[in-house]
Amino acid sequence: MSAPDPRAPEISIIVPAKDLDHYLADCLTSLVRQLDDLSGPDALQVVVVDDGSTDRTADVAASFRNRLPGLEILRNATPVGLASARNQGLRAARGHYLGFLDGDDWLSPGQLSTLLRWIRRLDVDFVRTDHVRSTAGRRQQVRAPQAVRHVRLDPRASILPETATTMIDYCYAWAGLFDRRVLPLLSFPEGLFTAEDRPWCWGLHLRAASYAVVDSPGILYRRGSATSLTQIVDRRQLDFLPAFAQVFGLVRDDHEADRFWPKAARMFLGVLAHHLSRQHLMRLADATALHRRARPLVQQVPEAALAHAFAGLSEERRRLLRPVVGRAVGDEVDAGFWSGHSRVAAVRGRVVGSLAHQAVIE
Amino acid sequence: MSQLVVASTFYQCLSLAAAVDVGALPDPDGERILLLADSSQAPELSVPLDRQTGFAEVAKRFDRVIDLAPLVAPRRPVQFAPRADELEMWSQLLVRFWELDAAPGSVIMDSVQVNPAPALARIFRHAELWTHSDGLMTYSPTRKPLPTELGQRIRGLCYVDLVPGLRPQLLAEHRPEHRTVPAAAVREVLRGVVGTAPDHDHDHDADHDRDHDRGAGHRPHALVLGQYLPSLGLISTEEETELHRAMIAEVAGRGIDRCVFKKHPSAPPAAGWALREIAAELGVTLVVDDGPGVAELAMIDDPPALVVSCFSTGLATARFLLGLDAVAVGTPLVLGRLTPYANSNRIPLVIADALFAGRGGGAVAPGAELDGLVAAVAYCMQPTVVPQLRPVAVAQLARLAAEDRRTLTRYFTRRRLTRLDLPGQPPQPSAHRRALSRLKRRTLRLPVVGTVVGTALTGPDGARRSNGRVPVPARPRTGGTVHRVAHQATAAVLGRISRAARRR
Repeated sequence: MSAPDPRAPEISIIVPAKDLDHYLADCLTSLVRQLDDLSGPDALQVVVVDDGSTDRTADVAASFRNRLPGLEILRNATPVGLASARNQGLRAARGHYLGFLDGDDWLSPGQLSTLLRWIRRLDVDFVRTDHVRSTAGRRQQVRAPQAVRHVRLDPRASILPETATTMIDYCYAWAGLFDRRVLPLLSFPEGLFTAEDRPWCWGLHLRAASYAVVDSPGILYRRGSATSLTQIVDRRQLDFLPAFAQVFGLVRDDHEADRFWPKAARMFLGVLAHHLSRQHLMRLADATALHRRARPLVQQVPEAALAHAFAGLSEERRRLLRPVVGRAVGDEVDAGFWSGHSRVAAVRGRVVGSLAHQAVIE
Repeated sequence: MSQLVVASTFYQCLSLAAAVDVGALPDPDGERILLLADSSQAPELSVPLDRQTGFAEVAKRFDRVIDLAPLVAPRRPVQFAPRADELEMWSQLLVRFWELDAAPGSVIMDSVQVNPAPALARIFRHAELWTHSDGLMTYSPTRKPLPTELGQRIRGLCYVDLVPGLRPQLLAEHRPEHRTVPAAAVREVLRGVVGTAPDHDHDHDADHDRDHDRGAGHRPHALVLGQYLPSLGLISTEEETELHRAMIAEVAGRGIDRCVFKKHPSAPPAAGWALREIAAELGVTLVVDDGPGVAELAMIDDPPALVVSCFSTGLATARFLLGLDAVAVGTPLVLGRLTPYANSNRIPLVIADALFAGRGGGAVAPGAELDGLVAAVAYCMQPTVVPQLRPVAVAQLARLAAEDRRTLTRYFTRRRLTRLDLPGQPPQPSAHRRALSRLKRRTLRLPVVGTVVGTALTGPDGARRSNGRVPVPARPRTGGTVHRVAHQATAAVLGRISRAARRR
């Protein structure tokens, strides 16, 4: 690998933004503040990817040119999705260290300089850190699920166990900083609108050589905004299926696949159960597609790992999953799409369900 | 023994400095410590209180300054609420951590409801409690009753005498000792800060233009104070844009062609851009000020010819502190939307409408007349909290019912007057009509609801209101069956019906 370009910025931060004019100024203001603790205005490159915004996102970004000399704005006339937008930003990034920040989040002062200090000192492929959830001004600290801090760790050793939340579940793209030497591992699966960080995180933890978890001033993760994907119940949510297909591909190709299949299976069933629990909020076509497309994916998981993961779930989740997973694990009690669907509807309450459905249609 | 003086905004720091100057704070019998509890929404993005221009002037009035924010970060000071069974431990730890000689003898709270002040009052449970208040909320009755353990310890209220002739109602139920801070004292502090400040550094909007030629050819400008009313659930964003348009029209109507819009700190930046375009249409140059500076400092530094807002306290400080011309725009709209009657925004709104809305407003003179009106409104808001105001309210309403029905209907609802049996209530329906109402209710299986309930459930754009509480219908005059509105879906349907009814 060639010597690092001395004129290149130390850090590049990729900021995907779609219709975030209310929040982007906070994000960019916090990046301006990072300059106070970095070596100079040239130390930081900020690549804003305006992904087909129809509001004033572009104007907001442009208004920061004076204050952020390293600002570059890429514009997509039509949205390509979070994953592709981040990849687009990666291609334009020239920094030695790379990071991400969602356009509606913001950083505490000193955040980037702290991560930079640690990744250099420990000389690891990437560092991960905690974040702070901010919901209408109320904050809650969320710790990365690795309590051993500030030492070099093996990323593969942080994937298991499947019975606990581990670093592979803490898959936020923006919760860390990455050395350019792992650039091939930083790409997201193109075209996905959700769950793009799952295969991305698996790829990093399976294939990178080293990492560390470090303390830092704080990343503020804004919750409760209307455009948040988790509140919209539509076809894009089904992107978790191709995302997990990729995860399964990564595990299958790994030389220790048997070691990691239980975790992949457990994670997949958890996410699948979550979507099945919300299927009454989906249009019938999408709910049907969910069942139809999930079944072949279930077939890809080795039976032993699948059965073990299924048995480890709560009764509620098993009930939700049986229509899709039951046959594959030999648990065919009440299997079938319609019984599962109507039972969920009864449990949730038809009035609330139909009202929410009304909201989806409107 | 020491004294903790809690401040959560920079303006509070300034008014507290004035309070110290005139001796309005109780004697500390030890150190007087300014405790900073920054209430800004995103402290990572704003300037900390102790780094704002003029803080050094404020700090001189205190023996020490302690900042709570670094201790609780990344949480915000408003989230500081230790568990009841850990309070004793907190007391010991904070005394040690803050190097106090002992637990403080008094705590001067900036708010009795919003942490960290009440939390500190609980931690230091032997401390005497005072409250300081520098805005229009001083004249509003207490909205949420204080917990007994705090209410029993309230000794005094230290307030800025902002609107001449108005009596404070805050915490009146605990009969605190009143200590006033004259408006002139606050003005002196503001002048002192502006006088010593270096030329402000503009850490905000890149397009912000300051007119530095103050001498030659200084054009008059207006200062518009944004309040971000959609966040209070009172009006929609579109209506706020229209409101701002009306404000700028008011400015243009007075022959002023330059405007500074001081954006509310919580409002999104989008508010400013739309406004710029609207102003241009009306022939007014508009500049957005989203910097951290307190509006009153800008008013002294570069006095505007006019201060415009809906019901911001800034109107009162402009008029009574600094002698500037102030006008309230949009108060009738918000008065019609404000619910319930006990809403704590009502007093500032009534004061703004009465004093600053001009001919379109209440047109009440400051002094005894306004005091009577505000006392009557306060009584109607919280009759059980300030029952001693009933005689004043009765007298005031009797006078208004006889001489000034316009003001009566403007500030008092018929339902409220009836419920409290006050002068000015509409006549009771006859027995025949009551029977018909009963029959109608049984047939339609509707609870007794008035239009206020409809307003409470759905905002102007049909969305559910932010507080989400489902109101209980008023006790019916006829004594018929009350149906509690229990299900949200039914409530939403009712909201739609009454909205449709109101439109007709």
